[in-house]
Amino acid sequence: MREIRLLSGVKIKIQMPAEERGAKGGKVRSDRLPPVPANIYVGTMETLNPPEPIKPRPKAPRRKSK
Amino acid sequence: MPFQVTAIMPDTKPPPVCKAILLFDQVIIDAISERISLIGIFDVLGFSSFPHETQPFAAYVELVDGIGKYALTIEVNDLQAGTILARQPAIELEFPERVNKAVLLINCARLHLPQEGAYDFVVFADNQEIDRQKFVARTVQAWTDQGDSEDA
Repeated sequence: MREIRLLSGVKIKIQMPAEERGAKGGKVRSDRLPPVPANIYVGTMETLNPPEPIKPRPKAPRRKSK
Repeated sequence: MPFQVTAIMPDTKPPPVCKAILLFDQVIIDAISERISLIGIFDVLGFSSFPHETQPFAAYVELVDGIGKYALTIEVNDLQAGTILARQPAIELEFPERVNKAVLLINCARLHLPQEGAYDFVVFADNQEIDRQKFVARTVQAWTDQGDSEDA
């Protein structure tokens, strides 16, 4: 199991199948760990101190459902 | 006189469509199937008193139907005070094809919630709001010894 601990402490785990971990569930070699999938973006929120007033911004028009 | 056709093209591309915004405690991604498991999904937080800081949490945002690149921003708004408490700096998101799907896992450090009430998690693409998810912070009297416990 690959575990990435982000700054705030929330964990993203990438779980390996049992045969990859070995019969006793041992650790996977670090060079065999898979990357985070390409269509997944990981970001971090920044706390604003002091808070800023909400600015009115346009809403995207609703699309018709197919 | 020949018939003339003038195409009126919009000057901006349509923003992506938001299919899901979920707030949760932990995520597990399967290495082989790339399936995503979200653990501890919530929309209510309970605290013994206010102001209070939340435990770290994260957000799952799923976007579809985008065309090309977008600058994606996310904010947490305090609806009572009319203020922005936290912001995700712009992420450049690309949809090589219309059928692509993008998933964002946004990590949120401890948020200082000044009072009980409703808060919004708002998603913007190219400075246009595309969707929002409300969550509520409320006082829970029974948890006086677990000040940072979060309701499920």
